[in-house]
Amino acid sequence: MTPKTEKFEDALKALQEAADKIKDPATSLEDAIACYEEGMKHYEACRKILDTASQKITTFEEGETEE
Amino acid sequence: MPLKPITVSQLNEYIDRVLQMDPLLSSVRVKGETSRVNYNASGHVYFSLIDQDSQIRCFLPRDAVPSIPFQLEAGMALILTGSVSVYRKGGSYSLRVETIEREGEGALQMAFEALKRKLDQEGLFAEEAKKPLPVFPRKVGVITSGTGAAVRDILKNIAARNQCCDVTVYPVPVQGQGAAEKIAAMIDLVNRRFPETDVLIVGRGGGSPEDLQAFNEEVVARAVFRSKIPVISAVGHAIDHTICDMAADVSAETPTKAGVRAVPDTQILSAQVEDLKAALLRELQGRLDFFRMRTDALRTSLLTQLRAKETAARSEIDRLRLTLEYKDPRKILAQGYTILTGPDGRVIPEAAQAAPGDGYQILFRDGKADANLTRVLLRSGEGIAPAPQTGSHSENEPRRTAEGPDHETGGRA
Repeated sequence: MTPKTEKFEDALKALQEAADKIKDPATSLEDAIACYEEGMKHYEACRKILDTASQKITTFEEGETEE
Repeated sequence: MPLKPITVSQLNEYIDRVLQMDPLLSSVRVKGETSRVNYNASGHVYFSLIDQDSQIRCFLPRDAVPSIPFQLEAGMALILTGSVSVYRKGGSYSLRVETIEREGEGALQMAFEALKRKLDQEGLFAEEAKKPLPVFPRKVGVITSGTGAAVRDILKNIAARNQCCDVTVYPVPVQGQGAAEKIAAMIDLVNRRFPETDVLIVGRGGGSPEDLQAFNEEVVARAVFRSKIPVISAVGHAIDHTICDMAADVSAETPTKAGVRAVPDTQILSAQVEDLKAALLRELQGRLDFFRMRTDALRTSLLTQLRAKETAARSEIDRLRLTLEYKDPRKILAQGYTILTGPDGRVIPEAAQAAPGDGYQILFRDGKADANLTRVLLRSGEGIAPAPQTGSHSENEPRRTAEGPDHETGGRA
């Protein structure tokens, strides 16, 4: 198994949360900047996953059933 | 005495009448296998129903044909209901068919309902047992026939939507003897050997009820329910609803739709991610613009107030300077007056403060002179009299003092 740095759904969720938080008028400017930086990090992670289109289609060989 | 002979027609007519009066033969259910099916140009269907040793001719009248939901073919196991009648002309009898059911169908249906009830009571179809599908699977498993339209449709639809996930096809027989056991075993195998699989599609394309039977088997339903990996069931067409569909976490109408359900469309996700990024940037920009405007406004206000204070201070300084300039003693000196200061350095503005003696200084426009007062005279009335003095006075030249030229404060030696 290849190690996954970040799961897409987690990154997407975090990005969504950052976008929601930055919209909240109660968020201070400092927090908004932090939100932006955090959000952009997750955006990059999402982008990277989406842009890495490396689909492999394989067929499980019957012989592999032996254990 | 021999019987009086009757005609052939009379005999057939009699047989017909006897058969028609028989309560069993006028409404009979008979099972067998079809043979020699003939859809006649007249619209009637002629065929034979056979078993191992025997056969009976069958006649399906034209107006009954549309009520039969399938095409009759040779080799079908059927149960027919109808009445036995005589074909007088041919001297044969046949079954006039009213209804046709496929043999085994009823039995299958009953078994299906019984199994459905049993598994339902055990909770295999419970909503709360259903696992959510992953938002973004990286590994999809497909358990179906390695050949055929279903696997092609699934792969095609996954690839069209999403190039980020890997797909592994686990080929199994999907119909026939032992298919159900093999499907169940494969579900277990993937769970055991490839637990990192995010979602499993289990299914097959459309077919007859018999073809789909494997997906109505208990062993498959249990394996689906047992699977730790979420299962999308995709069996046959939209109208087919199997036990496997009910036990699965998600039931897709067709294999094509299973491919769609299994993976998200990365183009849509991509757009969503871009929207979120744009929103982040827009919000931050808006906020920065707001604070920038506010700080600018505050800065302007500060500057304005500072300038106002500066202006006020400047005019105050100017006013004070003018006052000072107006009173500047050097101006007096410039006009030729002098100033007398005493031994303590203080200005002596009037004769009464002066006493004969040393230590005085006279300030001129362009310098100063040490002075010794010898005599001090005070003006009283019209005359001038010497002030009452203590201390000694040395001689002093007469001088004009700040008191003006007509004020004789200096004395003669």
